[in-house]
Amino acid sequence: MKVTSLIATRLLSTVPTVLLATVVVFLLIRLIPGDPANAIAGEYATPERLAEIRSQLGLDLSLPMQYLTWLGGVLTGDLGVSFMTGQGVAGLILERLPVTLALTTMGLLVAVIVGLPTGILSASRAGGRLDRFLTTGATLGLAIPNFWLGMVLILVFSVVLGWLPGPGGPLFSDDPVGALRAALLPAVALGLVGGAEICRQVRSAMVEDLSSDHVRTHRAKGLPWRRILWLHSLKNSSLPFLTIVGLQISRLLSAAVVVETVFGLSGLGTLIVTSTNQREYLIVQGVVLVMALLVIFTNLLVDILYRVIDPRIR
Amino acid sequence: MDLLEVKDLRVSFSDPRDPGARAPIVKDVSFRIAPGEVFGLVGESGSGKSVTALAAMGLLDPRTAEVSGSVRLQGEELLHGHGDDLRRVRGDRMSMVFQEPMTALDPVFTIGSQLTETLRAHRRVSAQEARRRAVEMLDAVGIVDPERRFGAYPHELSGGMRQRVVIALALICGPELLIADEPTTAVDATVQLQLLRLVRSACTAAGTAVLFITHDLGVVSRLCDRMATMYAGEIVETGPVDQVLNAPGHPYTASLLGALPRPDRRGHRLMSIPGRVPVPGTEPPGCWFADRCAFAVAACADAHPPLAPAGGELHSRCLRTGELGDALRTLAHGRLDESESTAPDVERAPAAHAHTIGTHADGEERP
Repeated sequence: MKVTSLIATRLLSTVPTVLLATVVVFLLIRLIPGDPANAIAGEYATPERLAEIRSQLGLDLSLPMQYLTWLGGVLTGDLGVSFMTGQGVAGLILERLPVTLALTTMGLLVAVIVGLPTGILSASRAGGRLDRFLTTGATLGLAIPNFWLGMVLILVFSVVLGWLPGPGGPLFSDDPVGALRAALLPAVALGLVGGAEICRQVRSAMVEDLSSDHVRTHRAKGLPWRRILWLHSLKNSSLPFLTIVGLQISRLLSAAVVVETVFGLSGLGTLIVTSTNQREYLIVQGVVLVMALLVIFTNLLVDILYRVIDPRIR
Repeated sequence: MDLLEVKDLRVSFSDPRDPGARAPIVKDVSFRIAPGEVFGLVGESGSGKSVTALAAMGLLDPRTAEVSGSVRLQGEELLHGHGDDLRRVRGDRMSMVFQEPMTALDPVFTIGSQLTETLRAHRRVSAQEARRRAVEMLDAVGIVDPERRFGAYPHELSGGMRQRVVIALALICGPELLIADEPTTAVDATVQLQLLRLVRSACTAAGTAVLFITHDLGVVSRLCDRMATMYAGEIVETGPVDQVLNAPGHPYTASLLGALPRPDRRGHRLMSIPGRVPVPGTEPPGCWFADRCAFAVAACADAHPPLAPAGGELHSRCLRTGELGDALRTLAHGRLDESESTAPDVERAPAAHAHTIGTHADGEERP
């Protein structure tokens, strides 16, 4: 199949997934007790006032009608406005999105930079002392919750050592270097667990590949071991690697919710937490829609890369 | 001087479940191959043929395999040198073709890049020159339209074509020695003969010596100059092919020959060798073949026989080799009272089989 038709069919097949995700979120957020009209009008509002606000917000409509109204808006590019501030949801999300994207990208970079070389080295010396050390480390890394790791990192590197800024940093547009420095600890907190997972997956894929017939042929050809390891075996093991990276991206997005809170970063994660608390239905729905699209987009990208790397899938 | 001299080669593997146990799989194997010679190493599965070859190539995993003895290529010791020295020899002066062509090539690289990287691992040549030589090599091993096939991936080729590519990989640097480990076992019968011809003609043309590992005595009779029979990890008989196959000096070789299906014995039961190869580590003190041997006497169980001269250039690891001559020939080739000599008989058995193959195999095979 050609890549363009692959993209087209993939995008079409994601439509039901996205719709399902929005329906689930739409219903879940309405299951949470609490009424946005109450939050807006305050504790002592009269029932008439509440009803008026509800009708203004469209909350007096039936659930299917509310959903369809919202969906209609989404299709025309209108995600609605915040009940509380009247600010456009789309604008709010666009304002927060770069923070989350930067954080997850850096987290993914940390995960790959930590996980890939350690996995390769571990596989290259399978059964040896370095391998045992690295696999033990990876198992420990998997067991550490990232919010706890985040707090420990803040304590060690910003409170005790003072090397890096603590929670809350400058905006990227104001001070790029400062913003990157501020994002370093959260990225490490976010990426280390993923790195441990990548290390384990890469190791097991490469251990298997290194015992394969084609590696024996490469050795019989007299290729240097590092070329076999870093070129041939790595490319042969890159499907499991890509798969795990794809999974990590969705995991990173959800973990960002917690890590952003720990580090006081105002990204989509903190936005969805405060919006849920304030029953800002439209913001929550908007953020979930964007995250679902991000996950679907990365999965598509992974699928395309599969084809680029492995000629047998083309 | 000999091209390859293998002397007292011993290989044992450690058992991960029982680290103390290290029963040798290959036991004191010695043989020599002259420049340009085709040497056959014959034996059943598990007799240690492949391990011998892998040990000579230095391809066994040092974490599990313990190799001792000596392997010399033109006098240069390969076993105890620095790892990188052996790597430089591999693929350049000494190369190997494996049994399983479907998995021997890297699936995610083009066959062209696998060829050029082999050349460039050993020779300082430009990318264009490497490409030219690779296409030339593909052509030489009988790949149709080599320019186009250069960019093909292994999965786009048939098993026979892939084995041709593996042969091209092994020969691209013009090695002095090619080790072929059952290269035709896993391909269609129609392709086998073509590949054998290819190995033979390519190596003859380049003066490359071949260590040909097989369990097929028919292949040995057609391809090889000298041969050795392996049993339970050791060589039990060695000598020139026509001598060994016509008048074997060891009951095991004779039994293998007798077990070949032959057109003149149609309707008869196929002969088989009773019993099993002893498990490594449980070999009896005497001859290891004695309990399966039709000619064993009490003395055979006493001492392990050495590989001793048995007339001409033949060497056999059998106490009774001198007295058994005619009996072994009978075992190998049926009754001796026929006026016909037994010599063409051996040739005919596999050759008759080969001719039927040949009629189908003359056209170039396609994927």
